[in-house]
Amino acid sequence: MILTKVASLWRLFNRNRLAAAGVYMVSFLILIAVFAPLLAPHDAVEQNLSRSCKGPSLEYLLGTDEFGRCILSRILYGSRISLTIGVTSIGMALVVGLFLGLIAGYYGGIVDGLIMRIVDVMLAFPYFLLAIAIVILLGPGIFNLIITISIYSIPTFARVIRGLVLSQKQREYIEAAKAFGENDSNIIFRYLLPNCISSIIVYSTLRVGSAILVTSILGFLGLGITPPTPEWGAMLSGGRAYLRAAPHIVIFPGIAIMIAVLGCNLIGDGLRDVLDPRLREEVLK
Amino acid sequence: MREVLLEVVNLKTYFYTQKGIVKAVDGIDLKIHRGEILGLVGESGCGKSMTAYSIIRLVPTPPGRIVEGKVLFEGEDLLKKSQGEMRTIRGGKISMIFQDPMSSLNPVFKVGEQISESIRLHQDLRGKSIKRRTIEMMEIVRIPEAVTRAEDYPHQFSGGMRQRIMIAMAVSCNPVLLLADEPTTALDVTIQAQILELLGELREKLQTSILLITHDLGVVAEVCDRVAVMYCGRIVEYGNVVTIFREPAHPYTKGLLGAIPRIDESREKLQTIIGTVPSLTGLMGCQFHPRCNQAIDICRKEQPESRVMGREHTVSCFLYN
Repeated sequence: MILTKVASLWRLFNRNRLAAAGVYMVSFLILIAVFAPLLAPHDAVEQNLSRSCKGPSLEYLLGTDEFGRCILSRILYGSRISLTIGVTSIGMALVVGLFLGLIAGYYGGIVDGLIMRIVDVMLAFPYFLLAIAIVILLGPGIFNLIITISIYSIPTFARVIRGLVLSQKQREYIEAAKAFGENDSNIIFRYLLPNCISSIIVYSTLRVGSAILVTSILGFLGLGITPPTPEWGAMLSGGRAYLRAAPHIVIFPGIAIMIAVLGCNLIGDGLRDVLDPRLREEVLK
Repeated sequence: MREVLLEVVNLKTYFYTQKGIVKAVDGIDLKIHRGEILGLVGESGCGKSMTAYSIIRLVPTPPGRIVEGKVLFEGEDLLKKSQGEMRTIRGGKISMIFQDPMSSLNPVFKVGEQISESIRLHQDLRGKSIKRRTIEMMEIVRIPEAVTRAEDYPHQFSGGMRQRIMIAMAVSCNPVLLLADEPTTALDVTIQAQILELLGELREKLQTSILLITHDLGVVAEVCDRVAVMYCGRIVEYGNVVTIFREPAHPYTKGLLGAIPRIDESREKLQTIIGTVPSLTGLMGCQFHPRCNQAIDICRKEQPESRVMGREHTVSCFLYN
């Protein structure tokens, strides 16, 4: 039953070439992340200064970085970090943002005012200052990076979800639900949430892409993952001093970041078309 | 005379806005007997819908609030009930159908599930018997191929069919009172006739009383037993449908009837009521006086009391003092 549903969704998805490309990109990255230890030709952290900044060769397919580490291996291992951070941080932000947004949107009044003013304050706070503050407070590391990115994402999630709820709340079917004696939690979870969920999923996938990008940016600024752990942003940052002499050090991690972000965005766009029961019919025609 | 099911006494629902107090419902009295269809007629914005919302306590608060009055339903005052008690009444003993069938169903659930949901909320049925009842309800409102159609989503239905689904949901728990807020306004004429016929049938079969809110006097003439004419939050005339159509007393009712084209008369032009509904914020005297062609001095100063004209016929107008 569920399998046939997934299969028919996939058929729909496949009609949209770009969305399918997105799925291929992301599944490719997931496979890489899972099988990194098997795929990596060399150790990702082992340094060897005698072969630093070498271009692509048969032994080192994507060349070596400034410390002579295998770039291919580092990118493969780096995918684990980027995907983990992207997905978990957005997942956490989604759960909290969903809760805040649904409550604020549905109940309105003082509750709404209070939640939204806090959100405003958080939005007004310069993001990198926040990131620096959190990293200083909690110290660097994957888990703290996840916390940083989800704290940063919560207010926008709350905002977007509140907006969706507000637009649905005015619809007559909510009024009708009340007239049939539905209680608040049923109205929120059986009426509002299912009607907003497709937009929320689309928004989340788009945000996964930007979370991966933010991870890289923080890594680039030295606020993210501590070296020598392979992380795409940190790889970019390390290679930028040798940009002229050895551009491959930054090009390959850059391409990896691009594939991850682009893949997530394409999937997000495709999902929007597939999840809406009205649009679905148009796609089928 | 049949038993009185619902009695609304001096009901006042005010909206507190920045421009002042809007008296959407300003002291109305209504009676609905068992198995009766009462038509509530009036122009847009005269407080018809708010009357219905007040009865089931769904007035948007704030800015709205029921300030005074009683809504006696089967002898109990609904305004004194808790929200929890109201929830079991809504959709159970009293249910409501809405004007726009296109937007009053949840777009992401199959219609069968939605009807089942309203059954599950108020009846002690389980599993298969809910399903059976759902199909049965869809057959009662005459949806062809009910079993397959139950698996369809609202957007796969036409407007008339959606209104039937709404009616199926509303009557699935055998309500004793159905509030129908302009149920045919968004539908075209042939479908209107079918829906009205359906409502009449349900009344016969299930003995449901119906409060039919409409601005269409043709609809009233067709199905209603009694009529209440509403203007600016007040009931200006109330009576038997035959009396109201044959001998309308209030100038406003006369005006409304004069504005309907008749097939057995040749008139060049339809009569109109001059002006528009005044805003509901504060007007001295009878609310209708600025548009009334028979207005006298006292109309500008005082509120007319409701007067008994004949058997089951009351009117609020100084012309009958």
